Amino acid sequence: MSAWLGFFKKEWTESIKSYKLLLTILIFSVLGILNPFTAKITPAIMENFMPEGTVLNLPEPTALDSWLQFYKNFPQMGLFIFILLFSTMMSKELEKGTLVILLTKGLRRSTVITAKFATGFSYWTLAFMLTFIITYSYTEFYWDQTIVQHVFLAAGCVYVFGLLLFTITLWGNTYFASAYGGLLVTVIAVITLFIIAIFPETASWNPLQLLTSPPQMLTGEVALKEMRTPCIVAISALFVFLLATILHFNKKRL
Amino acid sequence: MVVSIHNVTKRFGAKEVLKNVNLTIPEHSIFGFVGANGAGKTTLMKCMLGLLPLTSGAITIAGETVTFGQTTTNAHIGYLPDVPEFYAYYTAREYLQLCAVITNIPKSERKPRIEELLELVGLTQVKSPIRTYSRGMKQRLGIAQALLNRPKLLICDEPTSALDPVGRAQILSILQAAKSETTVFFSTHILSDAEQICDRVAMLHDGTIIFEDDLTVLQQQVDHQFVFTFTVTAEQALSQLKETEYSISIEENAFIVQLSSDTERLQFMRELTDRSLVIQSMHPHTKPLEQVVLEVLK
Repeated sequence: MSAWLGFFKKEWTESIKSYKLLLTILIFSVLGILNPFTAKITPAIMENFMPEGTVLNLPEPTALDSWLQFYKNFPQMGLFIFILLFSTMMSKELEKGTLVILLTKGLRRSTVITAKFATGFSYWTLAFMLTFIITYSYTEFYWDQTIVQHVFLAAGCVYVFGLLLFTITLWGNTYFASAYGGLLVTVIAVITLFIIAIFPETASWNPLQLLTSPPQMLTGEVALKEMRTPCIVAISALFVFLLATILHFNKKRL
Repeated sequence: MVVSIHNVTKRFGAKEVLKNVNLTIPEHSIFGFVGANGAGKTTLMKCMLGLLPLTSGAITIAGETVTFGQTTTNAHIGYLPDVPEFYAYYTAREYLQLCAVITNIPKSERKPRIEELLELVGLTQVKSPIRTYSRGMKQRLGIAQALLNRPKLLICDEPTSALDPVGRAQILSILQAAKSETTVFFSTHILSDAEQICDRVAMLHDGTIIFEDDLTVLQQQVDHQFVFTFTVTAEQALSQLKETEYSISIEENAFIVQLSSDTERLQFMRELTDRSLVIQSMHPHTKPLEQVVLEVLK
């Protein structure tokens, strides 16, 4: 086993021992169930809460309602929980000094960053797949999904945005070496993207489109090709932040 | 020489922590690096490990120059920090396995080497996770991980300073045993620890090496002094003995006499008997190393 695989294995062991795997499976499974379930029961709930005698003409829920719930819950609650769970990957080690022994044994500093990134990448993929597959399966069970366009690609946009946000968190967490550093940088990055989005001409490249446009992709209001540039910008930014994290950590005083 | 430190200066902002430090460490020796807290010992060790950049100067380990950040010289080093931090959920065996993978020890050699080291540090029977370990157990595991890849140099930062006497004795005995296969460079501010196992001692004071020599040379400076306690106070005893020719001093209520030979000691006992001074205790005078060296320099 190489040093990289050894450290990657350590990251996984740590995440399992600190219940991150269990929490990820539970939270993102619940989110997956919640999306079609909320779409299904919303009309019934509305009817129950209306005053007696009120006539409510709600249309029957469709597959689109289930997916709209997915884009409400997963990018907001799901992404927020994920970032919280993995926002201290570096700072915890830097604050406690657990990396010092391993680095003085010859562990490459880039190995630390890439293994941690790979762990976060794996967990985000697991979280995404769980929520997506469960939502997809239940939606397929209840409704006809042929009315919804670009289901996979629209969800893929949110997945890419989540990866970008995780990489920014990792950079902030390494740079500031504190638990709040990563979160603060992430919040600032999201606010910046929202400010940029005020200017309509930026919509053609702003990575925030990956988060806000998928519901319109499902209905065909946003064409697939419109997502190409934001997606390229997001993936490029992801690699820039990953490289910046490695370069910074290579020269970090420990 | 396994280590050569040449004109090393290290500044943190305006503060100069190391000032033109020069030091060489011979192979297969136990080199004690002493100095008060804050003298710059840990800083120099971190510079040797490439964890901190040098302001000026150079450090070579096993003939290779240390560079800040990613340094190949760490392949020759085993390091025990002053407070070693491990992954608390691992057992000692699991942690050493991780270290073995990182140091690229061949798979066939890992298990026997880990068992050998666990035996050396007395952790063979311990199966619980590291979170349950005492400070002494963590230090012993720290030494085991540092020796894992048979380093040419073992650097230990204050390995005994926070341990009880039993723990200290265990660590010193392990370091003594490690000398057969490596060079030990350890920092301490406890004279007795350095005296017990070191071949050579250097002292860092205010960022400068003020003393570097064989321990035997240093011990000559402190030998022949004895501390007495009497049934009366040290001042009362001194007033009764002030007319004698002995070199007597009182330091922090301790009555200290210079007695260079057996004859002189016997004669001093007679003086005490003549003056009806009743001894409660008598033992050789030992001082913190820093104090001894400062006295030498005065």
